[in-house]
Amino acid sequence: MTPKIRLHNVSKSFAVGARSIRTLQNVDLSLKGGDFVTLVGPSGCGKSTLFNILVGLTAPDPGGELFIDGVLQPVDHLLGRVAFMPQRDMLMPWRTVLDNAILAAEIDGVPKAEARRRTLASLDRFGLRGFENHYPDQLSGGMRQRVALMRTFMFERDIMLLDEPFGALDALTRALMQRWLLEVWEGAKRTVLFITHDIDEAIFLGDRVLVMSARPGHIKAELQVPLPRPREPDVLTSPAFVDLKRTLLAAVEDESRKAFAATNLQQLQPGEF
Amino acid sequence: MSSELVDAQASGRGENAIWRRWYVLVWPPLLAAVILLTGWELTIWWFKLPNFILPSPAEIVEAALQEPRRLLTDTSATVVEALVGYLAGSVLGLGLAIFFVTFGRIERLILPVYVTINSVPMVAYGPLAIILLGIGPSSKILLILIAVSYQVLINALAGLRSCDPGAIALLRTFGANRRTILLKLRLPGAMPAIMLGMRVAVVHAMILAVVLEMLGARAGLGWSVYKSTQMMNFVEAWVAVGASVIVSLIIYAIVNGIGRKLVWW
Amino acid sequence: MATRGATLIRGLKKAATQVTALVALMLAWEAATVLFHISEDKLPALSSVLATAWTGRAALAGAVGTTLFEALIGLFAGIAFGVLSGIAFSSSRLLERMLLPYFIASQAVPIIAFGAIIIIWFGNGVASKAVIAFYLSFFPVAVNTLGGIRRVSKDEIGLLRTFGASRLKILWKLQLPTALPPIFTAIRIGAGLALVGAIVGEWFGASRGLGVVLLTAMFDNQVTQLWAAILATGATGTALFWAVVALQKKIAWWQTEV
Repeated sequence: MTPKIRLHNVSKSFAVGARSIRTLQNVDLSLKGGDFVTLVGPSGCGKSTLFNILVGLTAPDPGGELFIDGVLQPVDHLLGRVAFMPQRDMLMPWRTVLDNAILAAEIDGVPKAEARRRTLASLDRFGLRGFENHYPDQLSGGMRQRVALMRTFMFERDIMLLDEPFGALDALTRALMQRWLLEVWEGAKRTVLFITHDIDEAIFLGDRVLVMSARPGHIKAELQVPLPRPREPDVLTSPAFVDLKRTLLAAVEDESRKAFAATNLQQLQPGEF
Repeated sequence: MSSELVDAQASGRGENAIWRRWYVLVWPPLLAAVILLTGWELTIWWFKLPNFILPSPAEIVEAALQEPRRLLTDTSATVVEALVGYLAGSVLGLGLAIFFVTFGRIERLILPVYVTINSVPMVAYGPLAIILLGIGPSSKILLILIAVSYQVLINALAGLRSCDPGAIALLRTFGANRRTILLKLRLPGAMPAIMLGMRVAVVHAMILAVVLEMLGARAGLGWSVYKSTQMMNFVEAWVAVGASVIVSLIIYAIVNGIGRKLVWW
Repeated sequence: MATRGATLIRGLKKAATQVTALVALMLAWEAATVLFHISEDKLPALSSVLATAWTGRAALAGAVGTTLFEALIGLFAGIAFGVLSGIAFSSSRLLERMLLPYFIASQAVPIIAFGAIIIIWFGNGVASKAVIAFYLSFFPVAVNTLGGIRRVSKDEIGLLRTFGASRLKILWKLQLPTALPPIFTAIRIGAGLALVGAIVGEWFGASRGLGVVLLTAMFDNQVTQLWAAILATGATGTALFWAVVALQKKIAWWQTEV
């Protein structure tokens, strides 16, 4: 079966001062349609660069290829192909919750009235019923993330990229949001690539977990997560889960140590974590 | 999503970069200056403008060089008015700000009065100052002092108050008293805001000096502009205007430079 | 998450202190002139100033109207030009480097000194005053438009680009709204400067307006009339300021303290 999205031989170097920093090195990854894949990696491994390439904001170095539905994509035509949710919600303070949620669709060309209608119908699913006319300043962090997520879902694309969307939330809210995200995803059947620092989150959410190496980043390991869906909260303490976690921790720890040692020698790139 | 790093060709490699930066910063305004001066000359030539509408830059410079001593007297008169008012006003403004921050009760009494007085544009007080203090420099200096002190006061207050309460609490755990906190924390922290106020105020001071002289003065650039216009000697007026432009720019550059030395962070 | 109620109460308290201070100042003025026997031609009693203002209220109101008209025309032109320049500078680094230093230098230049020349070029009527008002008000607006647009982070722009937004859409939907609060702050400043410009412009040549009233009172040595004009100017300036603030609260309501 043709993968929904596939990266082949993707590398990326940046010039910083007189040096050239290789952020990504021969990244190969592919996602099947309907997959929920999580990605973990140490700080500075190039996760954000990878996302920038997937979303179309940066081009890979010559030789790198990106396929969607088996078709090779010209690198400067990617913008708008993938639904992207960044780490910060970046809601516009002058727009209501409703208008923030329709922003992507609106820019995409969907008539405002139509976009509003569709979004209003989804309010319950996102737990925002009654808040459609509120402003972002009036909402809690968790609710703002839900609005941002709604915006991402309303941008009707088969591929979704989520960049640590729950990173800024407290542990309890995060747990609730994870379960809720899975519910929403089950109903929508999109292909999702989800970046996280949190090992538990990576295993709990994903069908597969990809481990990125320290810089120069490439996919070092891949872990299948055969846990049954829908995922219940008690799976977090099941023996199967703990086993997977042990394997994953070993792989990630290794790379983290490498990355940590490397940062003692040189500065991190701005914006990388 | 990270900020984009510079792709491909480096934008700067060591000392080459500094050279290029200078070059890039200097040639555009220089080019614009050349375009401006050429355009000026061309406009006069094309429209055959008489010199009371628009004299050429050459004429203005020539006229300036013909009576250097008077130009110097006028320039120094205006600069003295502006600087005396500016320095005294800055000291007053800063002093009041520190006073208000230390004694909040006095601020509540005096600040509203000050705000009310300054809600009238300072130029509107000009005629009054002339009646009360005559056409000498004191009428200008007084108004400049009030305007500058207000500008510095407002900015300094904002700067002194913008201090992080967490930092204040921390210093207090070190046993610092109010004065120490003021000197070691608030004041340095307020310097950017204060310098901003002082940069804005110096421009206002020059402008006020020139404007107020037009109502009546014994000497000065503004007075020279007014007199020359009355006598239909427009080239002379342009000379005074040009001089005030150059002096203003110099003073602003000086204050800016001092500001950068004091507030390098 | 500030509640509307708390902000309202704080606002009312501030207004109340200001009003009390004003009333106290007025009473002190009146009392001082009576108690200290200050001569009429230095500081007339507030009561006689107000009386003079009242008797001449038609003329005074006319003067306020003229000057306000001149200032507002200049201000609107200044806002339009300032915003457009700010946008232009934000999209072209070359343009910014070429022209912004001149914008800055233009403000160190006392346009006001050019007043006589402006009158020659634009005549004795409204136009010349409006030009001065325009000159003084466009700069703060341009600077704040540019600064406001620059406040938008690359991440925010990047996000909109992933939605497929064009540069124009990004400008209209993201950059300009973000710049609105600082633009309004600049308009507050610009309004005051425009008023000053109109008044001083009138000193160079005009038959009507607050500047004329002030000048005439000075030449006639009419201190009471002069004070009446000063109060009228102050009131006009304050009213203009609060009008802009009210407008800001309506249009750029999400960030009123800039």
